[in-house]
Amino acid sequence: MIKNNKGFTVVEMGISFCLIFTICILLFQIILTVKDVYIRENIETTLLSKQGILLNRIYKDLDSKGVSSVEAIATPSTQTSNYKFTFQDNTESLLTFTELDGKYQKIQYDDYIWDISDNSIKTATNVEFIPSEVIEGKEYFSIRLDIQNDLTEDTNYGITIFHELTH
Amino acid sequence: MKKNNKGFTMLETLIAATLIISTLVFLYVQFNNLNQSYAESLKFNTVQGIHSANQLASFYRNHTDYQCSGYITKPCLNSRDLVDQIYLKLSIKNTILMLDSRETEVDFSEISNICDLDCQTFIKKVRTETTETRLIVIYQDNTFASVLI
Repeated sequence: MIKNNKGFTVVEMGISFCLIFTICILLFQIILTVKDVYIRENIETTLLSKQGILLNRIYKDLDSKGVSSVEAIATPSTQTSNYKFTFQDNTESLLTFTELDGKYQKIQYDDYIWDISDNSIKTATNVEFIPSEVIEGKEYFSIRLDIQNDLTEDTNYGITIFHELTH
Repeated sequence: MKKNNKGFTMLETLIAATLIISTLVFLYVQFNNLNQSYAESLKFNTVQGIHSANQLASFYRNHTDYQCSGYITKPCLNSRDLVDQIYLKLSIKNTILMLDSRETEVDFSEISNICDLDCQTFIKKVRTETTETRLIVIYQDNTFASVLI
């Protein structure tokens, strides 16, 4: 029996390595892309869910009870901004923004707390609040805080409320 | 024993290459569809978007004189301070009022200057078989929301 000792030529080896290398790079890029998408979408889903819960709670009160006034409440701590909602049935709810190191870390509405202390989350430096403005004979208030994430800078996860005051 | 040193034929190589490429294309298409539908879920009808659209919709509900023919966009309502304020406060770029959601073929050429491809995809998704009036809101951050009036 004659044994085949020919093996591969240098050119064959070179071509094989190039092909394998190219396929490995492509697969690696796909894995990295999938990983990035997974991380980004995980963060987006979490932020949007919490934003949704908070907004649903606030709007549920605004629409069902009817808000008669919203006022900023002064606190001894400069790190919190409190906004008191007074409804037509004389109940009250408190919206609180807690700040630390120039960034809002926590938003609370009644018993619901949204912790946004993650380093990848950026918030606006101040809450835009207008307690009352009259437009075409009706009174409105507005509150706005922008919240963004490093990975998805074009999406705003913050809260924007512009609602009629009913007396 | 005689050893086979012939290697693969061109036909075998082509079949293998075709199979591998087909698998990769299939995976890419599936992944792309998944990614696109996820992107749409983040852009279309977000909670913030729907609540904001409701604020504008309540204005429309209280003002019955908004009716124009066909689609209504902001310029029709420019004279109203409140609408301008709502646009400003809620970061609304444009609105489209579909007076009949049953329109089988929406004339996108009529609204092409304010409704890009994403917006057109959204309108196609929310179009229903009912005669109710539907408000489409286009936000500054290119998200969309729709509520019935």
